[in-house]
Amino acid sequence: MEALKTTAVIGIGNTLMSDDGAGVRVLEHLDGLPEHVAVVELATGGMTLLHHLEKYRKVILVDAADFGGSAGEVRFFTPEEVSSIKTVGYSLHDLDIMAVLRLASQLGTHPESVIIAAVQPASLEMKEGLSDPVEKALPGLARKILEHAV
Amino acid sequence: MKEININVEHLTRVEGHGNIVLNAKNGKVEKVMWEVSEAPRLFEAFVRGKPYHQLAQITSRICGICSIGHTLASLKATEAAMGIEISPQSELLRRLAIHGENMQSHILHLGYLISPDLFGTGSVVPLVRTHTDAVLAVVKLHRLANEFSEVVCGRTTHPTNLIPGGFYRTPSPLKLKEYRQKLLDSVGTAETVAGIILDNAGALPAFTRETEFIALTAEDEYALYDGLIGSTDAGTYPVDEYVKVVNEFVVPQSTAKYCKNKREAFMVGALARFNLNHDKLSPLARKWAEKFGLKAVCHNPFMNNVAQLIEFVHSIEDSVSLIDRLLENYQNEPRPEITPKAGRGVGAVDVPRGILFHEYTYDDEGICTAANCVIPTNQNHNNIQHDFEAFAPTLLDKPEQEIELNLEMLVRAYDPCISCSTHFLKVEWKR
Repeated sequence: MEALKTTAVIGIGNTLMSDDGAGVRVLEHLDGLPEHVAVVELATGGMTLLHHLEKYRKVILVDAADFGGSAGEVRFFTPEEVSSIKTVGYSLHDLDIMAVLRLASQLGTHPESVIIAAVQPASLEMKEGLSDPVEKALPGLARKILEHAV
Repeated sequence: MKEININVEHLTRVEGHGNIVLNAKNGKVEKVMWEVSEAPRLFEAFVRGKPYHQLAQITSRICGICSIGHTLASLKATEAAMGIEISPQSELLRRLAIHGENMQSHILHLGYLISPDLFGTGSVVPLVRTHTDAVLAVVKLHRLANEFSEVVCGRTTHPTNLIPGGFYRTPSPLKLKEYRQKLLDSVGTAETVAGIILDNAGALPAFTRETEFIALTAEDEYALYDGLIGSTDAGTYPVDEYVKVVNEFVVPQSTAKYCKNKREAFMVGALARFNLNHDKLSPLARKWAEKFGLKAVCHNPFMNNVAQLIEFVHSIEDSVSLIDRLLENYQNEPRPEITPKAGRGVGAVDVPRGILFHEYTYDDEGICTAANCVIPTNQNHNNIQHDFEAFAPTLLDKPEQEIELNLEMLVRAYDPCISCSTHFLKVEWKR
């Protein structure tokens, strides 16, 4: 079964740091995914992102990111469109997605296509639960992820 | 004569936060210190009042790298306290779990954190361009170790399959066969990595300071999951008497406690295990020990890196033979049923960074009333400090940057997990 999965939706973030967990929490909203799509809860898995990238042709990375939008705003873009994206939450498992993607390119394990689905956080406090605007954004974010995954 | 003032705040390529301080004047070291500044973790207080079946789940969160080890030490402590026996099959599976974690942790340390020291780069990133095949080999082995841990434990980190009395869910025999083959296929890759490290092992300083080594030891296996407490100075002790071996004490420069036994300090970890148990290594692991010229008792702490590599090879080979034993008569065993009872128990396992102890006391409803965890890095801090005191004076002729690098490499050789090692204490300072 696993071998048939060619696309992955990978949720990144720390659910103990409020909106930083949006990339993980949105995975709960992904109903009716096609057979070929895997869901990966990377959370704070750091460098192990590298291990997942090499398994799929297409990867959608979902993460909270500060792109200067309004709280709960959602943006889809490719890594080529930005100069740097750093996971906004601070933790020991802090992950520079662009660095890992560059590493994967150099190692020849980069997927054919990478899309980043970002949501603008309102709060990065150390607590469980998302802020209202981000929580409300999740169903719409999930629908868009589904469109990109098909 | 020159004055040397080194102050490394938040040493990189280790887990957690530690500082290095060196002040020297006129060729004399005035102060050299390994400082641990991280906040205490309070896990021993968290678990008080919690039911026995939650303890391994909670204490596995002490660490994201050795969470399998904490789970196993915790389960063994609970099982010892309540007199719970586990099946021979569960014992074999737990041995696979500890190999999985050993492989994960060792390859991460060697491949990502130590290789930059061997090649003289600041991080692994430049190596991707200059040593692409080596980095690919490391990534491949790391991925295999992670997946193997997931197969056995349910998750790579914070395992879900391991519960008091045995397993919540056992891996399917098909998966075990699949990973047996993958492990066999990885031997070539592991030897490639070993060869590269051997070619660059000259970068490891030839420093020795005699010390005591402590690790689990057993008559019939290279002890990781079970055994007696072994010392290169003092024979063996029952696990139950660990407090008399670790002798924790408090120093002003550290939020982590220090330990000592027969000498001023002792060392735990892969080198300690090698020094005590080398004759039980798998054949290929023994071959690589010979190639590196590693002989017991080795007192060079930098060789801990080499011992980790040798253990990596051992864990591959031993896992294959454990899977063979398992598959001879693999059963779908029922989930264990536990009747809680009052008691005190100690669990010890030898995890990537060394011997780990958990001790719990339960009341007759299986509620934890007291806990103590003694973590390997904790036991090593004192030895690191004594190494510093012996090593620093030999470095003073070198440029400051090189002195700093050498001291950093010394700490990294211990593969410290500083976050794990800080635990809270009630103290009155004696100055």
